Amino acid sequence: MSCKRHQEEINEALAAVQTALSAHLAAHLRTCGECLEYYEGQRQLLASIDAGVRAMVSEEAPASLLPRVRACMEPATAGLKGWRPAWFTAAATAALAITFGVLRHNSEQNPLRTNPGGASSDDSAAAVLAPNAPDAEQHAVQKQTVWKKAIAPSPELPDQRVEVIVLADQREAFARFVAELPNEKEATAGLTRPASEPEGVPVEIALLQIHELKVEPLEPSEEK
Amino acid sequence: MRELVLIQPGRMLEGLTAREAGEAHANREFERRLAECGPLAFRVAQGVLRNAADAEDVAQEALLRAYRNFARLREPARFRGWLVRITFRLALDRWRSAKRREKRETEWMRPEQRAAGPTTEEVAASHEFQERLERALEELPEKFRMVMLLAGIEGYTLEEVATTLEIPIGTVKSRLFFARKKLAEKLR
Repeated sequence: MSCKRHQEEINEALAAVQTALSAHLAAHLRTCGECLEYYEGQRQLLASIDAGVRAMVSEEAPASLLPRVRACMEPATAGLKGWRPAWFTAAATAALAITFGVLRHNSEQNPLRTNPGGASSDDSAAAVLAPNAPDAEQHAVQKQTVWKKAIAPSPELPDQRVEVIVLADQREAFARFVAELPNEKEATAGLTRPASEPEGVPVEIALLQIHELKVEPLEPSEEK
Repeated sequence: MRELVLIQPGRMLEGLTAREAGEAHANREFERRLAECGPLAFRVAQGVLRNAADAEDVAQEALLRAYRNFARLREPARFRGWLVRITFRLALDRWRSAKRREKRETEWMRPEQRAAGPTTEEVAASHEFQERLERALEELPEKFRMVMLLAGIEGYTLEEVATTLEIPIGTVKSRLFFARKKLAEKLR
């Protein structure tokens, strides 16, 4: 094998990481001064390259780096924290608006007030509380008719937003639900508009019947 | 008497508390990674840019990006690899734009205004070599350059380089071999 081939092999061996010289190359280096000189030169070159690269990446990070990053992190975190209440406030406002809308809608369409028969709320309450009274059936029929009117779609219904009363512990979930509503047009319509029923079809409302009511006195606690 | 207890629902409050606790935990975790990997990001950037101020800017940007993406970078090895790659890329972008700017400015200047080359004999041979090495490194393909820089970081083993870059160790060795061979050819 010529010295040129040996020198190519030296280049390969030195460039490789964690690789020892082959036995025949080591034997050649022991006998060939030119190749040994080449080997030493190349070994030094590779060592200089490694040292040069190490020098490039061994500089200590400046002490200001981490504080700078932390300083930039804080506004980002604050921004996130600030965003959440804003989102929640918007959702809560929307929920409140819907609630007031429903209340107004109900008050405008209140069957007890719009009842042409002139049944007062006290009468209706009496009908519910005393279902066995002689005129209970008549009251029930009146209520059914009026209720039917109340839930029927009204052509002159103003463009008002329906509002929903939500318990405090359910606000967040409801707000999330409302936030998703724009993508659910059918659900929105179902929530915010009364069901469309053809006029004249009676709505069946079963009266609550209590067959047996047993009232027992409270038992004293064992704890004193 | 039996007692009737009314429990005020406080789910929302509990939910917020849990979320805040989660955020605090994530922040502590990121702080640990920041202390561990911040210097590494700086060194990778420094290896590309060879300018401490620029490297610090790039490392800062990379770390902030890591912070924003921390939810999907919880695994330490994944975090380190992602950070190294993003730092390398950001540093390369900055280096390229600096080169373009430098080229424009150099072309704009008249020949007599250009900075004179080293004329004194005091210029150290090592300094010259370092400059040649830097130029040779810049000409290396990115994947070889990145392996070369990572392997150059003190205390960083080839196994760690492989883990960081999510490549087999055999690939690390072959890339390192190619990179060193190319550099030696250019500097010979």
